Amino acid sequence: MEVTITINGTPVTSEVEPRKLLVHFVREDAGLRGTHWGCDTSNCGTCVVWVDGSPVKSCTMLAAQADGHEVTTVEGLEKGGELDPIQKGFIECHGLQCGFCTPGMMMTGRWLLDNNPNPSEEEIRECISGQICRCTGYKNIVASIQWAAEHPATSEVTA
Amino acid sequence: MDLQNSFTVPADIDTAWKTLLDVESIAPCMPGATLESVNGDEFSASVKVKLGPVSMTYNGEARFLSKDEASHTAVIEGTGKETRGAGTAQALITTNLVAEAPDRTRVDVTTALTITGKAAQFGRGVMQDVAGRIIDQFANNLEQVIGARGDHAAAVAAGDTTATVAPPVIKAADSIDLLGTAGAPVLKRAIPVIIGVVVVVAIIWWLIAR
Amino acid sequence: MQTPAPVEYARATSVADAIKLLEQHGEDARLLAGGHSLLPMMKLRLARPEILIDLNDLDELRGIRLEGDEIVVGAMVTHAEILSSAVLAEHYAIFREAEKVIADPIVRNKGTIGGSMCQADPSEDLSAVGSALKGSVVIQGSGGKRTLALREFHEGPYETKVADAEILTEVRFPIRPGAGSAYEKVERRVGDWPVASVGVFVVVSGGVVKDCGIGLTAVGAEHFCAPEAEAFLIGKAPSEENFAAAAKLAADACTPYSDQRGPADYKLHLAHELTVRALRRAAASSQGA
Repeated sequence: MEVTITINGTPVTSEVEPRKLLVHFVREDAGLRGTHWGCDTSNCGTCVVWVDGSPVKSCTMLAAQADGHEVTTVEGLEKGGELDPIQKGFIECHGLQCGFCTPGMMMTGRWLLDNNPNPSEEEIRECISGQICRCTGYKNIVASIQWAAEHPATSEVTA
Repeated sequence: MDLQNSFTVPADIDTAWKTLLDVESIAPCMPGATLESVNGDEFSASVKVKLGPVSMTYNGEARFLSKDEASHTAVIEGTGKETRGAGTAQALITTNLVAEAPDRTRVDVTTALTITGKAAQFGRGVMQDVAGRIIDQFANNLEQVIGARGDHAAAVAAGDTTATVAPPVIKAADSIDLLGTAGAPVLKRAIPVIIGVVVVVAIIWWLIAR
Repeated sequence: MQTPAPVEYARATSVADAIKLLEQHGEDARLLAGGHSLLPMMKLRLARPEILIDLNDLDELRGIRLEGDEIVVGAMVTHAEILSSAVLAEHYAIFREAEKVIADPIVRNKGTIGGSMCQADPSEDLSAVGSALKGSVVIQGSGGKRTLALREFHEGPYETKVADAEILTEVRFPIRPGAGSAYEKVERRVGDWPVASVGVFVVVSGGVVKDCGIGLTAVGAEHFCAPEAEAFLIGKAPSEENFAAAAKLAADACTPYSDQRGPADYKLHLAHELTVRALRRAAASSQGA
């Protein structure tokens, strides 16, 4: 079947089998490898993308379901050459080591801050509770999201 | 792992014993089963099982390892393999009949089960529950068969209710009529219900990586 | 790599259209709501439907509203929406308490109450909530609609009274002024099924329990409830002693199995302890309200 998904503002059309997962459409048909493919069982959250602005574990969704909808991936965080505060936060606060969980963590972090600009530490931890990191022990991921909350896009960033 | 199940039949122990070994009459009690071949004490069949979103067809073989009328114990060895997939199931089923009353017999089923493939990673969970439900379903159907036999024999004996009724020969067609299962496969003989339970139980093992 | 078997896909344009598609394809069709139970099963090839009927365009199955003395929740309402619903929170704290411990924030964006109810996992948290509150479901087929009490909805693990060509359209909960409610769950990690969960509502009036509902999941309680425990509490004072006695009756109604989540005796202990804690908090809330 033919599927058209608008990814980061650009429509991507491809002929796919109905059983193709959204994560594979994003990575293969749209060529966007920033979204990672991890556990394949909706546990790790490294595949998190936004569908119509809401985060979804894309390994547990069919591309066919997203036909005609909008998807935002980690590549869509950067705007006009400027990294999103979330991305800067992960740099500033050493929020990644191997980087495998990072795209999903950033997409969820960005969604949290869009809905709750000043979350408590507990709220941050709760929001990422459905995602797994093997490297950082989560402390720096939380710090990165807090940094992004404290340094929203309109203010100047000093290193 | 071991599964324990039990059900009762409304008949004396000898009638129950004969009935349960007379696979011809109990086969229609097992929904979804289709006999493929019979060779003495050996049978092969397929069983289709549907449970919620899970729908699987298993091919299985079974044979009586022993039948001891004196102790009313039968041992059956069964193996099943999913038709689409790599999972297998092996079972050793021991059925033992216990007389509870002159007109009631309890059937105790102990199943030693070995599962390989995907199913092997899942926990015990719901398996006993579902096996119990299936056995209940089978037992309900069986009750009708035995009850109908009893009625038939009583009529034949022209009202004589004192003697133990010998189970009459029921033709396959009669069985289907008695159970009202029009369209059920006409079986010359069929697998014991136990193998149906075995393969169903193996399927239940597969339920969701939870 | 887990890939579903080849499958066809259709988007229902209305409930009537979905029913028509179900009738057309029979038992080879599966309805697709949130997909977070069905797709993982399809990826393991445990479920191999021939066609998926996607319900996600059906706004008629969405929304939470009050209707007379009931709260009506559309079948496609997500766990996230239930969690954040002011209407539900106003009447029963149990919804927010249960949803906080169901799955995780991301999965809750997709999973739906209709899907969860119809998946009918024996450890489903919303089944305990629905049974505790003595809710009901509306099921629609080509012959029309029918309403069924949630305590009669389940036939066994993964089996409900929804027939092949029917759709669950709504879940309804009675409004009970003055009710307090609570949910207690023990899980090994975030997003896990419960080791055991208990949900209750209690209405305390004139110093005695006027009404109550006790729901349990993952512990083999028939229809996810403990009617004897409920009957015991009616007319009694909301005291620790009575909570303990009711909890004992609730645990007696359970037949948990030992598995990777814990041994049976531990689960029975949890059924008891969580019932006490839930009753305590629900009663306090009813009296404070």
